[in-house]
Amino acid sequence: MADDKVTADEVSRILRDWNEIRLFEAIVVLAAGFALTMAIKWTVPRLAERLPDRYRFWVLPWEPILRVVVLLLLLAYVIPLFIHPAPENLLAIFGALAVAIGFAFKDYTSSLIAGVVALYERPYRTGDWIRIEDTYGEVRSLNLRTVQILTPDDTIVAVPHSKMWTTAIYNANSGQRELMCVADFYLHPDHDGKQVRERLFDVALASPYLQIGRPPLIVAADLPWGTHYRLKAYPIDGRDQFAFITDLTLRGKAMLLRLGVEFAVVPPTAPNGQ
Amino acid sequence: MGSEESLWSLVPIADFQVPLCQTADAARGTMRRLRESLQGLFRARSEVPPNQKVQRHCPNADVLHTLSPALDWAAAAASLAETLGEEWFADPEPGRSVTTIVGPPGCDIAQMLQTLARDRGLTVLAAPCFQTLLESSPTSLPAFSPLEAQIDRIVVIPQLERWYLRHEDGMAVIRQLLRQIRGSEQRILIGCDSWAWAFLQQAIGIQDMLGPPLTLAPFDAERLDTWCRSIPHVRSCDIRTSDDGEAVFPDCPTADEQHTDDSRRSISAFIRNLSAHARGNPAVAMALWRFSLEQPESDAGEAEDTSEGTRTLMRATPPAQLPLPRLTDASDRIDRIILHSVLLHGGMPAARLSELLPFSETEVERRTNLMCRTDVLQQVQGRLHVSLTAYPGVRQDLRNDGFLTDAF
Repeated sequence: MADDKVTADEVSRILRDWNEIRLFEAIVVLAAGFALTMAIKWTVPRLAERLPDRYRFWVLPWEPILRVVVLLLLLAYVIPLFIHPAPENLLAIFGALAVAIGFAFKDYTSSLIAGVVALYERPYRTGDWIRIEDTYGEVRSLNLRTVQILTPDDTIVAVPHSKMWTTAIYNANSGQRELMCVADFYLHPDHDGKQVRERLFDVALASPYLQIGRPPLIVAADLPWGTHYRLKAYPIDGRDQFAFITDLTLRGKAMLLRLGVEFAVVPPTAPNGQ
Repeated sequence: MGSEESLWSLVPIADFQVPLCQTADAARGTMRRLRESLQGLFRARSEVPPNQKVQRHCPNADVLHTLSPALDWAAAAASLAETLGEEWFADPEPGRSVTTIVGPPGCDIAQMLQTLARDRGLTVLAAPCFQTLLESSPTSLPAFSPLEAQIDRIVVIPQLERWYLRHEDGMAVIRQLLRQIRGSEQRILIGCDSWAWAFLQQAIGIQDMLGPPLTLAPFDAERLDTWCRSIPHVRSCDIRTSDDGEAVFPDCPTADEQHTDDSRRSISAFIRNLSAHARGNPAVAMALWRFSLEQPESDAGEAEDTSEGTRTLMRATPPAQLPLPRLTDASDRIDRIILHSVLLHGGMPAARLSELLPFSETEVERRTNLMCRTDVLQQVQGRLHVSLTAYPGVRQDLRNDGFLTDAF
C-alpha cells in the first residue's frame, strides 16, 4: 500500500496534472510540426529540380537535416507540456522508454540510431547512387528508419538504415554530380588493338552526355576467348548514366562493325561466365 | 579604349575580359532568377515562356535597320591585316606561321577572313561537306593540296568548326588537317568558332598544337557607346530608357551638330549593362539593342510625324527587363543537348542533327521546331543557330547544367 503511494507520488512528480496539460496547444504544435516536415519533404526536392543542376547536390542533403531539426524542436516544445522538465524527470522518462523500446522494438530503434549516424557519417545522401546488397538506385529520401532508393526500373525500395551496421554500402558518386560509367566490348582476339583503343576514345568523345572535362579511359584485358575492352567515362549528370552507357555501347558497336572487327562469342563453358 | 585603338582590334584570348554588370543590375538579375525559381515550385511546367506574352511596340523594320545597321566585318578584316602587319603578308620569316582567330557566335570570323582573303588574293581552303566528314576513315583520308604545295603562299581556313563532327567517325578529317598544318611550310590563317575551339581543345588539345589564338577585343561599354553614336540615325533620335527615362546617349549631338569631345562624353548605365549582358560580343549587343527599342505607344506607326523638335522619341528597355526568348519550363536535358550540339558545330542543318545525337529524327524535329517557334533557335542559310537574343540565356543555362562552354 505504501509502495503504491510512493509510485503514484513519483508519477505525479514527473507528469503534469491533467488540468495543467495544454492539450490543445500540444495538438496544434504537433500538427504544425507535421505540416512543416511535409512541406520540407515536398519543397526541397522540387526546389533542387528548379535550380540549376550544379546546385542540386548542395540543396538536396538539407532535406533530412531540416526534418530532424524540426523534429528535435518539436520534442523540445511538446515534452515539457506533459512532464515537469527537471533533469531527473527527463532521465527517468527516457530511461524507462529506452528499456521498453529496446526490448519491444529493438530493430526499429537500431534503424533510428543508424539513421542519425547516417546523417553524420554520410555513407549516402539524397541524390547519391548507391548499392546496398542487391539494390542499386538513386537515394530519393532519408526517412528516420529507412533510406528510400529508386531503382532504374522505377521501383522504390525502402532499406533500413541498420543495414549499415552489417553490410557494405557502395556509393557511386558520393555527393558529386558525375559518376563513372563503364561500357563493355568483347572482341575476337584477332584485331588491331591500338586502332580499337583510339576509336573507342572517339566513341566516348562523340557522346553528348560525356563530361568532357574528365577524360575517358580504355582498359583492355585478354581472356582465353577474346579481348575485353572497358570504356570508362563520366556523364555530365549521374542521372543520365543508363542513357550514357546505352549511347556508348551502340556507338561503339556501330563503329566496330564498320571497322570490320569481329565480336567474341563466349563459349558456354567459360569459367565464371567471363 | 584609347582614341587610336580601333573598334575591331584583336587581342590574345587570355586578355579577353568579359565586361562586368553594374552591381545593382546584377543583384536585380539574381533576385529575379531566384523569384522565378520559387514561383516555379507552384506552377505547372509550361511549353510557352511567360515572358513571351508581353505586348511590345517594336519599331518597323526600316527604323530598326537605320538604328542598328549590320556590323562592318570589312573593318574587322582591315584591323586583322593591320595586326598581322604588311611584313607578314609580304616577306615571310622562314618556318611555319599559323595565326588563329577565334570568335563567339554572331561574330562572323569566317566572313572577316574571307573578306581579307578576297582583298589580298589569298588561297581559301573550304571545309569538306557533311558526308565527307562522316565517311572518311583514317585509312582513306583526303590530302589538302593547298597545304602540300611547295610554292609559298598564304592559306586561309575560315571555318575550322566545319572540319569536324561530334560523331564517332567525325574527328578523322580534322586530325588529318592538323597533321598537314603542322607539316606545312605555308603561312596559315585559321578562323574558328569559340565553342568548337573549346571542344577541340578538350578533345584533341588544339590550342597546344596551334598555339593560343587571337580574338576580337571585347565590345565593352566604351566601344559599344562609340559604335552606337557613330550611327547617323541615332543622333536624330532621342532615345531614353523605358524605366527611368534617362538618356541612353547623354550629351549626344544631333545630326546637325558637330561632334563633342569623345574623351568627355559620359556612358549611360544602359550601355554598360547592355555590353555586360552581351558579354562583350558585338553581334549579341546589336541584337539586344535592336530588341530593346520601342516606340512610345501613341507614336507607333507614325514615327516621322511625332518627333520632339527635330528628334524622334524612342524608348529602350534595359537588358535585365527584356522579355528575351529562352527555354521553356518544360524543357529538359534533351533540349540542352540539342542546343549544345548546334553551338559546338557553329550551326547545324536541322536534318543532320539526328545523325549526331542519340535521339530519333522525329524527336529532334519536334524539339527544334518548338525551339524555333519560341525564337531560341533560328534557321540561317539552311542551318540552325541559337538566336542571338536567346544566346546569353542559353549559354547561362548550359553552364549551369555542367555543359562545356566557350571562353567568352
